[in-house]
Amino acid sequence: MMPMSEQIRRMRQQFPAFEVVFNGGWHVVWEGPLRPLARTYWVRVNAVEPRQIDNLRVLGTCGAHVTLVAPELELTSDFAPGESTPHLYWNQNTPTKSRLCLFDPATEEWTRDMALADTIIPWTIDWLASYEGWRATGIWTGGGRHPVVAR
Amino acid sequence: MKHLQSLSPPLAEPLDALLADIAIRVQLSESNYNKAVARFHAIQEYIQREDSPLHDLVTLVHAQGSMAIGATISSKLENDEFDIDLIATLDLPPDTPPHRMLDLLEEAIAGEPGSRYYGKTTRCTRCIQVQYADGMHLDVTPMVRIETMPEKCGYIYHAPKSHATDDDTKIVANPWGFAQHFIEHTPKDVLFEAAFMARAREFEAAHLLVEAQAEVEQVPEQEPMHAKSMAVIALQLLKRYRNVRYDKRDVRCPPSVMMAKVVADNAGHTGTLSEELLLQANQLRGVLQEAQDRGHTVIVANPTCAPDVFTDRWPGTLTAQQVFIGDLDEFIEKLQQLRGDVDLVQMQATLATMFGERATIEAVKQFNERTGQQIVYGQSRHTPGSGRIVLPTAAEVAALGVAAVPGVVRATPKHTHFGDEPCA
Repeated sequence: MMPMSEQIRRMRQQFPAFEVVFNGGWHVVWEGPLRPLARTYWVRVNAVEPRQIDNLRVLGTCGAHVTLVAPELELTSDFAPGESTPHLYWNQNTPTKSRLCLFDPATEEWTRDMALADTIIPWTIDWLASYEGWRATGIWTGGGRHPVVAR
Repeated sequence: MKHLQSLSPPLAEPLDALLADIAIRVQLSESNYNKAVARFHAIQEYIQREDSPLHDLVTLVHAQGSMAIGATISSKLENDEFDIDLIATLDLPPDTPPHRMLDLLEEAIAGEPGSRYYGKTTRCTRCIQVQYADGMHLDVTPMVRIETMPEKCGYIYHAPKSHATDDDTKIVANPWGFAQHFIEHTPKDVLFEAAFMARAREFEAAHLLVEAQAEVEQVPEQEPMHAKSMAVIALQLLKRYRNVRYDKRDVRCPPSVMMAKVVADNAGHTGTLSEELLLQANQLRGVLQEAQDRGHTVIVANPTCAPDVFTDRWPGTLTAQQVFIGDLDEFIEKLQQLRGDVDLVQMQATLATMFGERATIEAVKQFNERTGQQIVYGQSRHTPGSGRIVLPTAAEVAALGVAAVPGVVRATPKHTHFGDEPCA
């Protein structure tokens, strides 16, 4: 597992505009700008190390997740009537704070050994480019898969 | 992780890529260009046939206007209709009455009932227009050489009616000289040319099925028609914008040749397509505003033939001039917005108002497909720091050693977007 201090170092090196806005040791939050195409997005990156507190093992969801800070996540496209933005971990309470689906956990595309700066952030760039394309055309061209959800 | 250090390729900015893709969609395709050249040769041969009134009197036929400088665009917004301009230099006395000059050319082209172009021609005030079923028009303008003036300079003839009127006149012109001037003053950049040509060919390859069914005619060996300078693409886009603005106006529109002259005067000073377009729009606006401020209509003449005035039929009035200045103000404002912090949705909406919906929506769709394919095939790359995705670079440009944007570029590891089914 890559230590959080190393994650912070690599983030600072590759994405210096990202700031650590919370550092709880085992839980770190960054915020910063990405401009995949021609619009700047501010994103929040949460990274959580698994912790053992007494008898409880505390796990962060997927270890790392990203939400959009500004501009607010748009949930629809004029070009895809009736559809919602694809590839989100849907937040029922606050949909605009839904987490971006960046990698497939089933195939271990991301593990805690990997640097966020080399994986999660570049994948966020890809996600945002796909999202802009979807909003402009109604077609998500960036690929991906959806889990089979029992309803 | 692979690091690539490189120079900036052309069309690396989303806006530049979209502008190029819009230009590709409104310009004459390679197959239509070949068709136009074949038709030009066919007409040239036909008007010299033995029973033609111009038999042995045609000394030269050459392209003029946008065809001669590689800037032809569709004359309609939603259909691919192209007007190709030709000059037929005739060995006739320069004082031949203008209406008679057009009579002779009309007879030579239209021929007898049942002949090749019969029923497919229209007599215009200065040319004979041949219409083809696919929407292409060939405008053939008769010219008589003025031996005392520079190469290929001559008279063209203006006759609004098929009989003599007081409006009949002959005008000194040198379209060939201007085309050479334009080409010399809009030098090509190897990298831009390669990038644009690759995109144009990719687009046309995708339309191969349509082209295969089209009329196939052999043409002589020629320069690749998509080998264009950034200034030519800027001119095409400015002309397209003019066509959009004047589509519903029942007035004469600003002449392409005037716009071409201004573009040639200011070409070669910018690094990107959007910069070039902005500069050219500002320069054009400046030329018109200067005349407006002095209280007269603009006069733009052929630099290779002073009596050849490109603005002889437009603007005509200060009001007409002001209308186009207003159009250019709006164009400049929109282009400046597009060069700022805008997303693809806003870019598409704005570009559609400037260049038409069909071309813009198609260009954005292809842009989205290209970007997505990179991600799906694990070929995505990004620039640390800015968080830019590196747009796909055509193989032809990569082969010239320019693979990405300035600074360090990193390959993005392949990944799969995952997630819940979105809740409706």
